[in-house]
Amino acid sequence: MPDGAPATIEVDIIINGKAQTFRVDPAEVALDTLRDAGLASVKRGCDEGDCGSCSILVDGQLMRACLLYTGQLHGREITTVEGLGTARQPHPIQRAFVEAGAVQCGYCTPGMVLATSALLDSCPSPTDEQIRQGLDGNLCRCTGYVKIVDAVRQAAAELRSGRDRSGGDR
Amino acid sequence: MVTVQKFIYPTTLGEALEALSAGRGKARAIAGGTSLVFHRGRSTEAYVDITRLGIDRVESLEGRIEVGACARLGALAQGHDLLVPGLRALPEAAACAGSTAVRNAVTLGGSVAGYKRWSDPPIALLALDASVHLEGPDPRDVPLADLFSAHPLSKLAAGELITAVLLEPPGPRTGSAFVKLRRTAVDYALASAAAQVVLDEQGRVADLSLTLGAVRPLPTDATDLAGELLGAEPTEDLLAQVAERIAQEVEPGQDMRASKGYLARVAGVVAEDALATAAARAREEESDA
Repeated sequence: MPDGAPATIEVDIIINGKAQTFRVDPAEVALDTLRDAGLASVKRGCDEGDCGSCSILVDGQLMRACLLYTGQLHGREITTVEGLGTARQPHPIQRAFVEAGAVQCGYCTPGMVLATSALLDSCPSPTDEQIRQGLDGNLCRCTGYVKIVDAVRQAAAELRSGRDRSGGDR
Repeated sequence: MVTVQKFIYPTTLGEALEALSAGRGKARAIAGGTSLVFHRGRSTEAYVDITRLGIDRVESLEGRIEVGACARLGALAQGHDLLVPGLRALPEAAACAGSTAVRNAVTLGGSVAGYKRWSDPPIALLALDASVHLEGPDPRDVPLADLFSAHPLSKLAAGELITAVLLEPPGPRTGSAFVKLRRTAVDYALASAAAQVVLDEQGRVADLSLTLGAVRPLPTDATDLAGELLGAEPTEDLLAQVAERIAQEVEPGQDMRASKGYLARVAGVVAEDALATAAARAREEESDA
């Protein structure tokens, strides 16, 4: 290929359970690809990995969409909050954030919800310290962290009792 | 100008090495990618994704502990049975590098190859006298200290790949620790220190190593500055003297966040903490044995 000619690569990603193929500039980052695909919950904040607004789950692991080339996601499974619940049927974590008053301007909320999901997946009964560690890379510039920690605690309790009701299964 | 043309996804080490060598210096290995995403416009034509090679495990092999280069810091931060107190500096450094989401991406090999002045894991690995295994035209083990006589990346030839970090299993009465001073929970280090301490049966220091991070562009071997501990019990007074000596003798580089005088002072403090914790762990090892 001649110098400077625009190249595209094909990237297969399973997003919220649905297989999709993207043709992108190899230098494109996942944040741009996901937003262009209509996933508006993936927020552009600092663009350099500090704020957590663009958090996504990659094969269940919390990561930053602004710090990943789209090409790195080839063959991976991505979860965004669009894949957790809807306005009519919110996920227990989303419901807990609303009920605890943890949503202020809302910009950091998708990242916070995904960080909570990743945390509770590996640690269903976190201490307050573990909650703070699990959210360590997610900044709320309304600075309403107390309510956010309350929401995670409430979500954890709800998910645990849900598990109890369904006989230990999620 | 953007020059990247493609991504390559090898599933075996052989395929990865072939892709790197076929790239003639313009193919670059990518793992976590957290540094490389800022390299848009450099002379890389192909990224070779090395995260699918199965080189991410912690294993005991031929009497050594081998940590796969693609082990994520988040996984190492959870600890491992093989990462005993004598090697605790490694999971400790992994646990405080960046935030949860960053640790889930960054790999141990990437933290060496993509070293920055503030990187935490390489400081721990240097204090633990680690080596790396390089694959490529001339497969070999290289002591990490040799790799860090300049920026590690400058020591790798085209087509060479770090595939594992190698650690010696510590002997009895050995402890290690990593300590870092930062402004926020997810900040880069202002100063960091990693220590490994071996005690004799009387509780005196039989051997030690000490590496300082972040105060200079390259990691600083401060083992000699702690030399007065050798043959002595690591008392609070003696550790405070070591801190004082480090503050006097370390020559910090320019850092926009703090004065050189401040950095020298806190380098002594983190070194003192790392040595004290490493010694305490070495004593616990004895009482366990």
